[in-house]
Amino acid sequence: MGPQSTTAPVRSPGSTAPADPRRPGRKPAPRWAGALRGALGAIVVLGLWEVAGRTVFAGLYLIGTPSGIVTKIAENTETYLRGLLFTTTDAALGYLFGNAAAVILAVLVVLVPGLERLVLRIALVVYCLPLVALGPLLRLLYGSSNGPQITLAAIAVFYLTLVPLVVGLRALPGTWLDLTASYGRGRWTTLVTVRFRAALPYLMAGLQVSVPAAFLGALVGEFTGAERGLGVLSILALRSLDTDGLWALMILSTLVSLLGYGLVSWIARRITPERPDVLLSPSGPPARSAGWTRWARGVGGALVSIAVVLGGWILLFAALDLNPYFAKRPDDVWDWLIASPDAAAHRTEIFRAVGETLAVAIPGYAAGLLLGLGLATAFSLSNRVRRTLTPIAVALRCVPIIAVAPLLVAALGRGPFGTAVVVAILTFFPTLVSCLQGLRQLPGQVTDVFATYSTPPLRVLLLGRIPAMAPAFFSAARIAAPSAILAATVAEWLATGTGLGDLMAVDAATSRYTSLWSTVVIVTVVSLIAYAIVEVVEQRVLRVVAPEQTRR
Amino acid sequence: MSTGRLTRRRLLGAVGLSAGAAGLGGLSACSRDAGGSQGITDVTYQLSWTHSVQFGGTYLAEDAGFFGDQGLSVTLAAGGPNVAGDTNTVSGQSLINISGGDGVARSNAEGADLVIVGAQYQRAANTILSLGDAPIQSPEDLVGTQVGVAGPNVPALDAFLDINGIAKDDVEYVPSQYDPATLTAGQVDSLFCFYNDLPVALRVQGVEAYSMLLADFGYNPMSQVYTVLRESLEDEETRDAILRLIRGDAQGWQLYQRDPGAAADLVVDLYPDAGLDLETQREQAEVQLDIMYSEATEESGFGWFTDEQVQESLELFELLGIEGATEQMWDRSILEEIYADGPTA
Repeated sequence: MGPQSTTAPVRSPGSTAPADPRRPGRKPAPRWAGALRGALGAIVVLGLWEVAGRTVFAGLYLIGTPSGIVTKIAENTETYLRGLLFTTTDAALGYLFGNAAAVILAVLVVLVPGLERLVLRIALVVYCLPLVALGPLLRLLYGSSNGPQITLAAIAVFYLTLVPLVVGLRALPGTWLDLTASYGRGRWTTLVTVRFRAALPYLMAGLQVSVPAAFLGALVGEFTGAERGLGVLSILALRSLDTDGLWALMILSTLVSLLGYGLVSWIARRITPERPDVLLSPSGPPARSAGWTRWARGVGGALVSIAVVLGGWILLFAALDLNPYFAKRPDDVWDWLIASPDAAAHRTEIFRAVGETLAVAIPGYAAGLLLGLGLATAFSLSNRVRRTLTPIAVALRCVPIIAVAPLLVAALGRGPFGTAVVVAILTFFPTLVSCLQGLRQLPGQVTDVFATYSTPPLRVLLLGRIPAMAPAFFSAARIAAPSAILAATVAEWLATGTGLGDLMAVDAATSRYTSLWSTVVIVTVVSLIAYAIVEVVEQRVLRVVAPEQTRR
Repeated sequence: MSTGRLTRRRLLGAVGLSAGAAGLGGLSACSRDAGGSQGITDVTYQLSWTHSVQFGGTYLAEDAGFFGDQGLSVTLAAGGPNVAGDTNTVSGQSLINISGGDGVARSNAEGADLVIVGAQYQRAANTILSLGDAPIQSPEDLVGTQVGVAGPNVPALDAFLDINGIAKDDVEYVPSQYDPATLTAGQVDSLFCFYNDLPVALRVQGVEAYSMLLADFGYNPMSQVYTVLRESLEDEETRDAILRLIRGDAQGWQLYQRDPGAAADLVVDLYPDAGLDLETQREQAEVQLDIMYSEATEESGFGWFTDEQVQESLELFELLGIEGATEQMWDRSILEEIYADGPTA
């Protein structure tokens, strides 16, 4: 199996062949022609949209028309812009805190490898906590500040950055490590001089993906009794059948997310080195220790993590002196699910909801992954496709799912299909970004070899780029698993009124706090299991195509 | 007691902001802020939904200085789709909150000890909204149709059908939230919602619709109730603050009754960031007069409730499957004190 068994992603400056899919030699069309084509296309799309909105969809209040949206924005410019400013500020603060936490944790993990599993597991648990349930609880904690918005934004982003960053900090040739070691330098020097460089593209990918996620977190936070912001405005627009207003708000927040995304992408292009280097690392024996010791270590690690999470739960609540009326402790949950005489009924209720949610989350997740992978592949093969679809893909992800979920569900029918589409939209994008970045990880020297033999692009893709992309794809697939459940619960909460999302919302609305906390625990465990399943598949595949990721 | 706790929580929140946002725990610092230095008591009043003319009288009270006259500095906390109002009162975040009678009973069934001390609505606002060309005008019209209903309202719809002798199997419940587009897009025949909310929105948008108040067909739980902790009533100072708050609030609602339009203008002015539409607010301000004022309020004062209403509520709770509620959940003594000299606060 060619180069892929010994290569894996890493970039280094100074190589020569073009890694970027942009092909030289083709004379570009004049600028104005492209611009004209784009403008004409936009006019046609807007015209069709306007006509559809005024005819087929008239009176349904599902689709705003361009003219109506523009009018709304003109009428409410000041209100909308202020709302945008509040939400953007909260999202930006959350983005900052969340990503700072990700970097700190990633550095910690690399400096003290012994902590890695534990830290990542606990970080994962925090990421898996359902936003729907967290919102009202954070509001109880913070009062009427913008704390919930910022915290939810931070939680929504930190894991998206942490995972690729940890991958990136490891994505470097063993020889580099040997080099710093032979100079007698420690982990810190290695980190600063070698690992940070290698991790930069991965970090930037995480930072890109987390821009829209921060926005989503801030919006969910605004649903918990905020005074201002886009979330507040969209609740009102939704309930007053102000379809044009709702679309105007969605488009404005999409634009802001796009701007943020564009800014981070621009920075990423500036500071990341162009060319990945060959990563030589031995495949090594498949397992160094006997199966059962690894298994025992895994179970032990999981137990330690559980103990830490439960301990943290109890201590944090005690330290904050939270009222046991709403802040249930692990033993309340244990009672509810296991010990009490009604436990079986409680379990039935929760597991029925789990079933409903998984029935939409799994197909949506699969569709999202395939879509992300497919788009990334198409982008890498054709520049035209990439240029045309990139803004659409980014816009889709940047559209605030909170506003769009009810519309999608209303438009696509109240069945599982609508929710599955929401899930797919929320999961495809991180996969796309990650895969695109992964596809570019084909080392220059390997590209040169392909070029020497004038290998057709499709073959390069199959034999070179896709294997080189594997670590990036799997890190995206892992993160996407909890995201899919998050997306499904948000859609259920806001639109369909089924599954776990609805159960948590109803529990919160009717003060069934023990049930709420038990559901939170179950949702978190289900997310963790989903993550673990993807991880097992990942380890199998990466052992072949990217052994440095599994090296331990 | 509860006011002191309130400030501590807020302070804690501020500390938690930095630590919590970084994803790390370790919040410990907290201090007690002595509220009410110059005889002014700081209180938080938790509303049941986002700011709108639904709380018009309260804004008028604040604007006219009625709360100030009572020696209160009132923070009005917005509600929303993801806000647990009762819990805010239980946890001490707010001194008082606006809730639903059945919601309070549910909270108490879960271990809270909340007491209803007044009711802003004389008739419950729950309504079944349908489009004008296929109106649902009586419970019988529901047979064989699809009703969009949000999870928390399912027991209410169950009880309503039960009261009107309609088998649950004859009506199809479609799980949904309060999105009026599901109705206009024809996905449901009717929507379980609130009298002064979606029906007004539809009217302002020019959509012909029919709104059937459940209260006209035997389902009339107390709604928009003033809810406080029992321990707040037992503490003399806190009880006094509650009394002054409700007195100021009722004065505001008396103003409102005379000029609801002024409340609409005020709320649009006060909350420019809520995106409120003046026309809709005016319409809503008019509409809710219906359910907030009645002969009973003329006779006994705004927010009044009777022993019959209490009994009716208790019977309803049984239908709703809420256990453990008794007359102890209501306390009229505050209203009685406010209206000791007649129906004017």
